[in-house]
Order: sequence, then structure tokens, then C-alpha cells
Amino acid sequence: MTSIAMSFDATTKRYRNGTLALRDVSWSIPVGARACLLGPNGSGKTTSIRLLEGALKPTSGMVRLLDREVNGSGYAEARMQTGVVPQMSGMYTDLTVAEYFELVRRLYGRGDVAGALEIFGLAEQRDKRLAQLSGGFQRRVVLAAALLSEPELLLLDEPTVGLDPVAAHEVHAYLATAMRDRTTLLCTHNLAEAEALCDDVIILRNGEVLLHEPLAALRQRQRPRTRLVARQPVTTLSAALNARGVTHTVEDGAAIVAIDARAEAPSLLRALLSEGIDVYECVQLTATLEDMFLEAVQR
Amino acid sequence: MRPQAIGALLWKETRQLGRNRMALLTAALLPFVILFFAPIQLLIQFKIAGAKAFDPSAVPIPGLSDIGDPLQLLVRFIYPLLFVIGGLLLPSLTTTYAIVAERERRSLELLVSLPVSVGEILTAKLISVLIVTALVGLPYLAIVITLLLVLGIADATVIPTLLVPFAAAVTCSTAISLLLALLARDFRTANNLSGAFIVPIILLTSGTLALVPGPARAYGASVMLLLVAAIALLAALRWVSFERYLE
Repeated sequence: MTSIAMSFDATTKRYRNGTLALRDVSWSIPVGARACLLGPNGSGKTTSIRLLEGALKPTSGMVRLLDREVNGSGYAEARMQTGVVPQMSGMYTDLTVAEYFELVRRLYGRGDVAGALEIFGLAEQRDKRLAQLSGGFQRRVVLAAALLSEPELLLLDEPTVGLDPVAAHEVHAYLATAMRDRTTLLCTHNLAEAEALCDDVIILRNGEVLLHEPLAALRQRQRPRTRLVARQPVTTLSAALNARGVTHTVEDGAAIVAIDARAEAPSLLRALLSEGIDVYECVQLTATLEDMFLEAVQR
Repeated sequence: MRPQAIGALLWKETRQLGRNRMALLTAALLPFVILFFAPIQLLIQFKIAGAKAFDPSAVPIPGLSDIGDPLQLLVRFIYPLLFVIGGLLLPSLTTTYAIVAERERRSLELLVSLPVSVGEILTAKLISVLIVTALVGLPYLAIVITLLLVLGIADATVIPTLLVPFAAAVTCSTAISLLLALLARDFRTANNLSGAFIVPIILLTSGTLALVPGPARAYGASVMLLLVAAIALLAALRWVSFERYLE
């Protein structure tokens, strides 16, 4: 059994129109990992997914899926073990939900169409044309189709983009179940979604890998920050902190100080209170993926 | 290429073609006019007009010099040309539609997310087009040929001289449409380009039919059509990628 689920080895992708989508990129994720691929628009996320699904060919370098070179010998078998949820695509006006599932079942050579319709709450929509469904149902269909064959690997390209919050919440619930015990690469703009569903982070910018780390390690590396709020105006609190040489920023009426609340806050609070600064809130801030992402892309 | 994948895609294509009223109407009407109505109408007119209407031997064209009977002109020159026109027009719209429509409704992304290769997708689309063309074209050809045999206008040797150019024209049109569908960004451009290619090919066919003497004229035209098909196919293979569609 292979231990690398997917890998990019010195991969460059330049489109025929000259656009350089990926520039000498190398990364891999092991079997069992749940990684998210983050990056601003045009960073190469969708191109990466399309290279993995074999729709595009790399200009140079090598892309591997389940240890098989994409479009090389044995790739078809690796592809049969991979479910893909494409980015919000167009939908067929002339195929029903049941027919689309039947096509997927025939292509994978396995799958329970009736079961998928039931599990994803699509039984009542089975005879509707795909294009007639609402955005939420269309995403459900695509997700159900990707899971129909019970694949080992899932490639998800912006699975909730364009959905209203209720529909996105529904899809998240399905994703959380689908990604359990399954190697997944989630390509998303939604950092909360990535944080909730993934363990590893790959950040792309301008076609290059900016960062590739486990989310936990990334969090550990973040400097601790503590939020202080006082009864006095924040300018008074800020002046008191400056007088003590405590580095801080001011955000929304609070001072964000670069200290570990558990280790350093008690002495700081004692000092501030003794100076007559009535600090009534002291909260250790956990760095969100958004903070880490912004820090990485603004570096 | 995996037969299972092509079979599944073919199933999808035939379902979709069956639901496309415009494609069905075109597929039903065009062959009726070109492969049935026009040949029968010409046959009746030539029969009525008889030998007085036209004397082909008086025309100084090398390919027609062996034809001394207006009905033979119909069978050996006009019908092959008509069937070539039918063979060129019939699959062109369907091929272009089958490929470009995937791009226009942005369903290609949905399709390439499934375990299929670009080659399998195109093969299934072309096979479905050929099946539809055969289903709607061949019955009319059979009727016309049967009429020629029954009326004693031609013998059995006429069958390949009508069927081979038709098959060559279908191959040529499919190859050109494949190339244009891969290159064109939308349905209208693909159709306009298709028209721009087909008209010169019709002229080339009529030229070949008129210049090649004897029974070889139909096969000469067929070889010419297959050459064009091979060139178009080679060019298409260079472009066989949906990269332009996915950029």
C-alpha cells in the first residue's frame, strides 16, 4: 500500500495563453491526511486539482496520485479510487439526477445509486434535470456523485462556494462525515471551513508554495496574544502599556498585547491595576487560520 | 482507452442527443431533404425529361465523357455529389454541438471530474454522432439505391459508388468538426468555421467527380475526402486537449 496520497514534484504549469499557474511546485500529502489548499485568487489551487484529476498536463515536473504518475501507467486505477468535487460548474440541462448518478456508477464500475439518493436527501429530486436544482442541491449531487463509489481519496474544489449559509452548513455536515477516515485535499477560500475540516495546510501564492505545515504546528509557532480591555479609554491603557515597554496594538477599543496570558498576564494585570487602570477583561487569543493565512500571504 | 468508460459515456451522449429537440429536428429534416427528397425529385424530373434534356457527351469534361445517358449522369455524378453533401452536412452540426455545448454550459468541469480521459470523452461523442448519422442517413440511401435497382436504372455496382463517398464525407465532416469544435470558443464560431470549410470541400468533390473518368470517379472523390479527413484529424490530435476550455 502506498503512503503518499498525492504529490507534486517540481511541477510547473503554464497555460497556452502564457499564464503561469504553478511555478516549480513541490509538495505531497500522505495517505490519511486531510489537507487544505489555500491561496488568493489565481494562486494555482484549481490548476492543482485539475492536474491531479488528469484534465490538464503539467508543463514540466511530475504529479502523482496514489503513487501513480498522472496520465501514466496505472493512473486509471488510481483515478478510480478518487472522488472529485469540482468547483461550481455548469449543470446538464438534459440529464436527471438519477441518470447522472447512473453515469457515475457505470464509470466507476461500482456504487449504490438508490443509497446515495437516500443518504443525501435527493430521493425526491431523482427525476429532476440537474440544471433545475437549487445551488444547494446541485452541490449535494456533486458531492454524492464523488462519494458514490466509496473512494479512498477526495479532491474538493471550493465545495461550498456560492452557497447561502444554510446550504453551506448542510454541505459542511456531509463533508465532515465524508472526510472521516478518508484522505482529502480541500481547496477553499473559506478559512473557517478549512480550519474545521482539515489538519494540514498548504498555502499557495502566485503559483508557489508559501507554506505547508500541520495546522497544530502552525498554531504553536504563532506568538501568543492577549486581549486587554479597561474601563478607561484605550488610549490610557495604551499609554500605561507603553510606559512599561509592552508591545501591543489597539483594535476595537482593546489592547492586543504580545504576551502569554497564563505566564505573563498576572504580573502585568497587577501592575496595571496598581496604577489605577481598571482592566476588566483579559483573554488569551487563539490564532485563527485566517490570522495565519494573512500573515503568510502578507510576508 | 477503456471500453467500459466509452460505453458509459456513449450511454450519456445518446440520452442527451435524444433530448435535444433542435439536434433531432436537424438530424431528421436535413437527411430527408438531401438524401431522399432531392434524389427522388431529380429522378422523377430526369425520367420525365428523358434523353432530350441533356446530352452529357457534348460537354467537354473528362470525367463525364463516358456518360452518354442523362440518367447515368444522375447516378454517377449528381447522386454521389448529393450524398457527399449530405454526408458533410449531417454530422457537422451534431459533432460541434456535442463538444462545444459542454463548454458553453460549463459542464465540462463536471465531466472531467469523473474518471475519464479526454480521449474517451471525444471517442464517445464521435461514436454517438456516427450512430445518429448512420441511423438517419442510411435508410434514405437504401431507399434511393433500391429504387435505382428496381427501376433498372443501375445495377449492383452502383451501391459502393454511392455508399463509399457518403461514408468518406461523414468521416471528413466529423474530423473537421472535431478540429473546429476543439479550436472554436463557442457554438456560433464553430458553425461559421464549419461552413467555411464545407463549401470548398463540396467544390473540390464536384471537381474530382468531374475530372476523374470512369467508375473510379466516386472512389477518387472518396480518397480526396479521406485525405482531408486525415489532415483534419492530425491537426485535431495536436489539439486534443480540453485545456483551452479549462483555462
